[in-house]
Amino acid sequence: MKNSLPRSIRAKFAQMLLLLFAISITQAIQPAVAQQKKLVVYTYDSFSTQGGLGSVLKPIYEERCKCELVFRTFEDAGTILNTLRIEQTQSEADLVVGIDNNMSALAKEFFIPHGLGGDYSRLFDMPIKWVDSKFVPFDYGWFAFVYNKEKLPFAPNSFQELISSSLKVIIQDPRTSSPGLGLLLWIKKVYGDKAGEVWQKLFPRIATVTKGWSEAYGLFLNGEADMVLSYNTSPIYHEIQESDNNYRAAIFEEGSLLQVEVAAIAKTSKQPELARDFLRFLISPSAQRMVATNNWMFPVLGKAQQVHAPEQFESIKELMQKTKTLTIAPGLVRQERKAWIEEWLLASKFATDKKKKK
Amino acid sequence: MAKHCHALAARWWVLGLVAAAPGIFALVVLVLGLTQGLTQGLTQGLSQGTLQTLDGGSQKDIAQQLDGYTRYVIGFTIKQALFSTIISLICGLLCALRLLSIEKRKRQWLVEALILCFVLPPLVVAFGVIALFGYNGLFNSISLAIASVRIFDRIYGLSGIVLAHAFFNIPLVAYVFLQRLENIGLMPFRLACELRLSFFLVLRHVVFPCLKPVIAGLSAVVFSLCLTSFTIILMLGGGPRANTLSLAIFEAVRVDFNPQRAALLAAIQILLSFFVLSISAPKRLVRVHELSAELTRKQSMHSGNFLLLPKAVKLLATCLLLMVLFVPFFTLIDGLAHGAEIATKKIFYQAMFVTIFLGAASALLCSMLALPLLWSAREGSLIQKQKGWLKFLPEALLALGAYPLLAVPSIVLALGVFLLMQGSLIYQAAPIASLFVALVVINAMLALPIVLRFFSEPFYAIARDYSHLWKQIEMPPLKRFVDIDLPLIQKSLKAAIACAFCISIADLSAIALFGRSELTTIPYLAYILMGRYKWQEAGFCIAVLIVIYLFVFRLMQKK
Repeated sequence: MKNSLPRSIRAKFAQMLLLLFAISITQAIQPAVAQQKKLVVYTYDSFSTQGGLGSVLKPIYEERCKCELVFRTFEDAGTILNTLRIEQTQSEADLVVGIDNNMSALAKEFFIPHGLGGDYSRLFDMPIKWVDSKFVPFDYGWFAFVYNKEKLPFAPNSFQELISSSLKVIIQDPRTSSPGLGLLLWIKKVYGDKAGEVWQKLFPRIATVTKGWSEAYGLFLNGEADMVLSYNTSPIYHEIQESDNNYRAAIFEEGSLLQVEVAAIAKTSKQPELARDFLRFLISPSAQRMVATNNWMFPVLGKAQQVHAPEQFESIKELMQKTKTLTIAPGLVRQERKAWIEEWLLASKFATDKKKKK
Repeated sequence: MAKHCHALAARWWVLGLVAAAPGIFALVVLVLGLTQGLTQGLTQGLSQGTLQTLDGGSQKDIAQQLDGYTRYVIGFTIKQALFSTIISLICGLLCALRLLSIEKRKRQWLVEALILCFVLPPLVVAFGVIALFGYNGLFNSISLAIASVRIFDRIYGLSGIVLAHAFFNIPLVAYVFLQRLENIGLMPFRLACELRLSFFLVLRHVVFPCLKPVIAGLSAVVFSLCLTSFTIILMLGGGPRANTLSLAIFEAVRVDFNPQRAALLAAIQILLSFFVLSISAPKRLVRVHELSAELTRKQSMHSGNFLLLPKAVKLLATCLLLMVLFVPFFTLIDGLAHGAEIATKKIFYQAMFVTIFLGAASALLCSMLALPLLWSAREGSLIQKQKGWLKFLPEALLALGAYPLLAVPSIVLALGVFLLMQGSLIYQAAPIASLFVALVVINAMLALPIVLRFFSEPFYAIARDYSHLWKQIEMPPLKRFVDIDLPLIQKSLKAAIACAFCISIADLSAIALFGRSELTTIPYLAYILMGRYKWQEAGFCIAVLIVIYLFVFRLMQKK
């Protein structure tokens, strides 16, 4: 039977088999080399990329735990939650790092208590008091629209001014991204039932809606819009890393929404002890010292723990004490998110219609 | 002889059914999705209706809003598909006319380039459109340098989608139109030239009557391509105001894990596709068959110097044609020129390895499904020739194996496989390996209908030519397959494998659902890099993808 196969096919077949064999050998060797424990962390892009907080902490922590820290990265925090939802009990996650206080209530069921003891937050230096049995904060900041002073000398100081301007802004999708959700909640907090109308007026000002923060910020830096939704600490990055003083964050008079980025142990983790150890490391002074200049957010530990952020951070902190810090109850987010998202989606439609009429 | 035939008669459908398993699976997903999606949607609507009477305003608003947005998405889907189709047809016609007035040999070369443009994955087109027309694209950079203004504003949204769809479909339209125009020969054009008919009159009295029979079918093909297009919308949509059904299905799965909503949307999409196809149903299928047959047929070329295009039209058509060919070319050159630093990273090689392995595995699996399916359908049709209604059985088997796969959106198919697999022990033991296998299976399923199209023509031709001989020499079916069929279809087999390979590696929907850092393909890596705003590195990946395509097509055309 086999002899009657055309020769060329047989030769191809043999080649293919040889290739398969070679591949399987290389595959087989790999696990033999890496027999270490693995701690799998689900996180967002800018955390794990070169120079991000994750990439800086990785070698330090691997030294400490004698294990391998593996980052599985996503566009943004929202996608992490969706992946947990899709993967259910089969998730490989030990930890999730980088969802925030605003969306934590949506994800409670995917995590187990961190078990760090009741007073783990005693030393924190944060604008709000943090008490949570599952989510451990590792940095915080305020959402803000960032712009380049050279290109935009007069920036809006409120949502109303932004709406009535002719500027173009880039925002993130509230379904996939934590800043995106942040803006949704921010506008909801400020405008309540009128939020839908505000979005309808705001949509014509939106150049594009990206899946995550990295893409939005990249587009903005490339000049594709006048402003981008980011953090009020983002300009510090340009000042310190690039000695460029032209970037500014617009402080809106309606107040600024606070974001606290948190980490938590996944329910699916087979090594919760190790995961807990990482959380302890994450809020230790040695890791917290890296936060300001690698993730460009405020560390949760303050001067009392010998964690010093560059002076620019201090001046922003002072500034924020004069403006209103907004927060939204996590329970409310859990209850109303779906409706608010639908309100947002629908507003995008009206914006298009209106624009056409013009 | 009778014995063999009986033995076969008993067996053909067993093998056929096994090979039709993916189609049957898709049908199950389809039926489940339709019933689940529709009933869920309805009950949800109903329950919200009742809730609204209980606690007043807010619940009713939600129901209305969801309804409103979904309706908006349907409307936008149709709108963009309509615009894209019209523009593709007009531009395709211009390109075809321009090609017709080019000398024979050069034209042949250009036509081959056009075919290549059509088979390139939509990812390449989308990326090329951004690289050329984007805010910081080539044209804006040139105009900025010369006149310090940007010609193009941001292209995300309707304009970008229509532009990319046009570039994606123009090659197909131009190709089909050109085939028709070449087939009518020189005479009408020569006559028109002697009568000194104006361009418009030539268009009306020569070109249009010639193209009329294909227009409806071709429009339906282009329209349904745009209707179900996913990658282009994903990359060029730019937010919720430019959302189509296929992207909304993806979002329902990937963004707000909501299988019911995905099923409901998929049901709507399927109904819409059926509606479009039913308008031009018999024509469309024939045309596509013809198209694939024509790809291999030797073309009758003639020089169309008699076709006098007005200067403005000629210029426009030339620009258009150059642009269509320039998009992938520019993507290739630009990509290779920049962003090569990704080639120093491990993830790139991992992705490369996964891509090639995945493509090869699913192409093999696909042919291994297609061959028995066709073989058993053909056996069936040979045996059951004169037996009343039974003679439709083999055809039905073939249809069962292929059509459900065409109807179900790939992301829904992928979700079906994923949910099915998730509970299994194998998945828990070796998640990456089983995800890979699932990807192979899904991609093989996606490629199966097209591969069947490749095979069916030569396969049935063999039966036409040799079936009498078989019956006389009483050749056992398996020996017959190996000794007669296999050598004769070798060429189409190669083409089909190459085609399945290309389709499999270009997919973005299933990989976006299954993707892990260890399991990334080149297109998915490009998508991830774009998400991180590493355009140059993404461009490099896409250029590599084009190179793989070129390489595979070179292989396919050999001998």
